[in-house]
Amino acid sequence: MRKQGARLLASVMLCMLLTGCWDRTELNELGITAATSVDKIGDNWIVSYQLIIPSAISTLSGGGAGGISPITVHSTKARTIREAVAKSKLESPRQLYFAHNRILVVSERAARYGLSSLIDVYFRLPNSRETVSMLITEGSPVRILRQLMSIQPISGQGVQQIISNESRSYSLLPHVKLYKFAMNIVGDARAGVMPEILVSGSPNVDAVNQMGETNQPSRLKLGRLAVFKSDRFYGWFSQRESFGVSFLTDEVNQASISFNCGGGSDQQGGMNSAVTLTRSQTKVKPHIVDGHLQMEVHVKSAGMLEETVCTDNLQDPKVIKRMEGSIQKEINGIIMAAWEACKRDKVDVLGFAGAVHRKYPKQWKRMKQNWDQEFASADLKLTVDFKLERIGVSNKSFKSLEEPEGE
Amino acid sequence: MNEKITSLQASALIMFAIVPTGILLVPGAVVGVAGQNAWLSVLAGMVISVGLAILVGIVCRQYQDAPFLQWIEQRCGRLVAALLGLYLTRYYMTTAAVTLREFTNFISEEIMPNTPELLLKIIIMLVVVYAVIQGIETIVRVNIVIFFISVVLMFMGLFLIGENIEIRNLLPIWEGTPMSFMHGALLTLAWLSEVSLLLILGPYLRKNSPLIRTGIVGVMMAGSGILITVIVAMATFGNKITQMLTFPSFVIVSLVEIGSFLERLEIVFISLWIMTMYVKLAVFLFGAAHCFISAFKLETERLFILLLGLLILLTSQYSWANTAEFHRFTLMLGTPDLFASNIVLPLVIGVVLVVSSLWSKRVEGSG
Repeated sequence: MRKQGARLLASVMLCMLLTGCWDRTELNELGITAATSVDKIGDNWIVSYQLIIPSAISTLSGGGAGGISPITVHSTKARTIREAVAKSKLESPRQLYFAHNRILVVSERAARYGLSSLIDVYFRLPNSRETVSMLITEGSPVRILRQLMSIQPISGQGVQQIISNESRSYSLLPHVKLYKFAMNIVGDARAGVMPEILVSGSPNVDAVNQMGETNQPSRLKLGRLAVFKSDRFYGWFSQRESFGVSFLTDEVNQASISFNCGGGSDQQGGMNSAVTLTRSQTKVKPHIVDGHLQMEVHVKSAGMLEETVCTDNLQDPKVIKRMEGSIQKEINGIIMAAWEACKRDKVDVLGFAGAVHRKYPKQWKRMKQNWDQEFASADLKLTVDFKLERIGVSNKSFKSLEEPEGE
Repeated sequence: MNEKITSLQASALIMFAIVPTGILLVPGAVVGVAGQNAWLSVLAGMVISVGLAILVGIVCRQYQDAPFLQWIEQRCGRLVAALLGLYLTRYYMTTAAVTLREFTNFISEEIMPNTPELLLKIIIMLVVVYAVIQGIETIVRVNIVIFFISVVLMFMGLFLIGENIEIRNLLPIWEGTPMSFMHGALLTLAWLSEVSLLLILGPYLRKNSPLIRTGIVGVMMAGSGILITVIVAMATFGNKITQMLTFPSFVIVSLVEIGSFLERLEIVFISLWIMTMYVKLAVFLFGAAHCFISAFKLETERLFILLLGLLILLTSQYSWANTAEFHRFTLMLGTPDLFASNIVLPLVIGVVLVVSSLWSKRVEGSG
């Protein structure tokens, strides 16, 4: 009995040694980072951190008076990224913890220099997340980190929710995670994309007392699409071109498209109706015809009418057919805008290189030597098939009721 | 030799003697040499290893009830048995030391970078020595529990990472050279060759257990685990990023994000993997102890298990100055050692068996 007791005691005592050893860290010793930004000025990297202040968040959610910002932002500068991170120990009482980092904002300056070292850090260190959402901004990225949000106290998390929701329900800009970006820039096309984040308006809202107003003078907003060749920034695509890229890369989940319903009811200028795309699928098939590359793209999508001022009978199949034609034309225009932009910049952000490599592995060995040129001289054979499946819970447009009866 | 284990337990033990380090290191290594053909190379390695499992099973059949080295002694004499015992003790100890190093390397790089590796090694080896002292039956019982948890978690993991998988990343196939394809297959075979563990486990199996089937099932389960990991890694990251990652299996799991409440699931899988590493180490320490004790017919088992455990710990701690040196060792010496001990040795025994049976028939005929 005594022997068993001694064994039990020894086991319990041994467990005391296994509490994390040298890597023991208390929660209140950590500075949890919600967003990080990276800039490059001269030879130096400037890394900025948006740290969460847990006590301020609990004050806000508890309906307290607030007064303390839920986040704090500081920056460090050094010749390498990790040296800059290490320098944060000179000014931060807490050890930076990146496992909950939601967004990584890079400046256009840093992106022009190249992002290889940044990606290497993320893949090398276990603490960092390869799933962090990447965004790019013109000017200083620290402005993005300092900007407060009225709905979401932690703006880093808020921005990640914006891009995540947008890519899921609007599809104008893609949600680019770090590992996907890395895969794209080392892939066959050696090109990638990244959405832009910007502060719209001025001055910045970076103090809690400015949050008391119903309308802030500035807010965080998604902008254009940055295009990369290898790990370097190359140029910008407009939102319409970006939307086309989403179609061509089969990344459209849901989207909203305005169109003209035609039929002589063009009372409001160009666009007088809107549909929501409920599903879309893009198939890309490369063909080599007489040594010339031709990309056959077929887009099959469906949607629901959400707005119209057309006075036509919406239960007439001919009217629906005409509307489908208009929407197809609009989608066609969006895709062609992206195709022209890609050809203009000779940058394959559409993944066509991979499709050619998979279908023509032998020819690819020759084509990859000069892919940008091959890509720019390729032809696009596009077909769009759109089905207007539902018209909503109203059979007629409200505009049709305004017309005098009996006419 | 009183302890008895079932065929399923033995297959599961063979599986976990291969899989823990296999899923950790094979994907990066095989994709590094075979590129786009890596998954086909693993498949080819699996097919060849089934042949090896059959060979080992046939050799095992010859001495089912007696320990391997006792049987060698009867056939080839005391000296050969002692030398073979020493050689196999060295092999199992080296493999255990390499495994221990891989284990602590991972823990240090991924989870506990500030804790001295020596302390981690001491804690691990204390548990392993304790398990081996308890005997093979205890090890297999623990292993079978881990086996069933692993199967459930593996299917759960596949379901969770499904949305990140793009099968088109596996295409095109047959792009590399035949040499790189074979290199990848041989690398996989080197890992799967540990099925030769059956030479030691054979006598512990219950009477009339299907030895060949046990080996085949073990090697197929281990091979499938590695194959699935390679396919998933390539389909998720493409072959270039997979080559760059030291531990791709856990990076894949770290991509799982369900809303913002279920994420960083790799710790669940790492916990399970740690259990399997304990089993692997216990199996190899058991192999070393078994060979040493039966080669020299020693009676004080516990003391020698403890000493061998200590030797493994010291070898693992002080043989390699850094990770680069360790990787060079495993590539330049570790892989040839696996081939020599797990493939050449059973082949030589098989040839000796055939020659000696032909010789005895000839003697009987002439007599």
